[in-house]
Amino acid sequence: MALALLGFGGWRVWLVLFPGDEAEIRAMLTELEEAAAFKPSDKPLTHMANAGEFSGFFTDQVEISAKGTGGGIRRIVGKTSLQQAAISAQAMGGGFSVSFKDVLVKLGEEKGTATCRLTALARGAGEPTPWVQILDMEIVELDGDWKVAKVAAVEALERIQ
Amino acid sequence: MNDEGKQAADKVAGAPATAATRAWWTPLVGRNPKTTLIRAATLAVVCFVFFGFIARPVRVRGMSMEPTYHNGWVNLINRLSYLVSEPRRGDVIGVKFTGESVQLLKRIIALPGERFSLKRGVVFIDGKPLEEPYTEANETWTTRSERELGPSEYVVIGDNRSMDMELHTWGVVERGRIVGKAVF
Repeated sequence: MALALLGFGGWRVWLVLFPGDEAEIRAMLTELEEAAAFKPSDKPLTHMANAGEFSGFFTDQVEISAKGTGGGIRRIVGKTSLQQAAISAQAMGGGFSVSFKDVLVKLGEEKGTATCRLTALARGAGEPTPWVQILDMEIVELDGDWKVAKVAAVEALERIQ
Repeated sequence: MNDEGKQAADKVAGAPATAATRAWWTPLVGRNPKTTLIRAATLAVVCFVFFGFIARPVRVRGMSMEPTYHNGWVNLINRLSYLVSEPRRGDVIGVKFTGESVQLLKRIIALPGERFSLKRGVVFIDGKPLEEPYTEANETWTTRSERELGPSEYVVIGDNRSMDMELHTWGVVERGRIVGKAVF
């Protein structure tokens, strides 16, 4: 029993000291959730800092296409455009928070690449119901850090035209 | 009667509790903490198994199932409901996204192998109109073509057809994404 506990503890310590790629990606996504959130009370200077931190999780040529609350697909290409979009969103006032649920990570055959599918729950301040969307992400490792290269919205149900 | 005999007599007669049994934690853990602990542990395990594996609690968000279910209502999704039988038309089900943390609550409208279409708000199954007492037809809901469902495909729609068809999340779902049937 003691040996089993010792083995389990050793394994946990090993995971903390040397996290695998999947653990690093999950940790990055948790940090991304925090960076994407903002409060209505944030000052304009904070908006700039928040947007800078948020865009740091993406590659320079990032491509994002997500369905907006009105139903249309919004497309953002490039880290600079993303940063500007983040500043604009914060300047509009209100708060925003996002959480990623049921994250499925699949490491690519090529080292330093991965894909992940998750359910994003986003909520604007004062909105009674959250915006829910399945997102597919392509993630790459750049200089030891995992960055999001592509985000695409996936329909929850196949629509009949 | 000596002291020892008196104490024994007190116990039998249910004399007032001693200082030790009247400790501050007595109302919390009872007179027999071991039994209380076993009961609490059993209850915790039963709740964990029941709510984690049998009936998943869900909170309704949004208005796509109005008027049957209102925003904020709590329900349970029975994960065992389709172990021995297949989902049926009219069942209100939970459909998972990438996992079971977030689910869509929808009603099954068309079953595998059937032909589905919508014309001026009326659902047609294999060319015949479907009676839907739980909703009111919205004439703007129309599909351009008929869709024949595969062997494991279902069409699910919310009861609230008053909203724009484009804003309503509905469509075809694979059997594997159906979590279970709504209990209430």
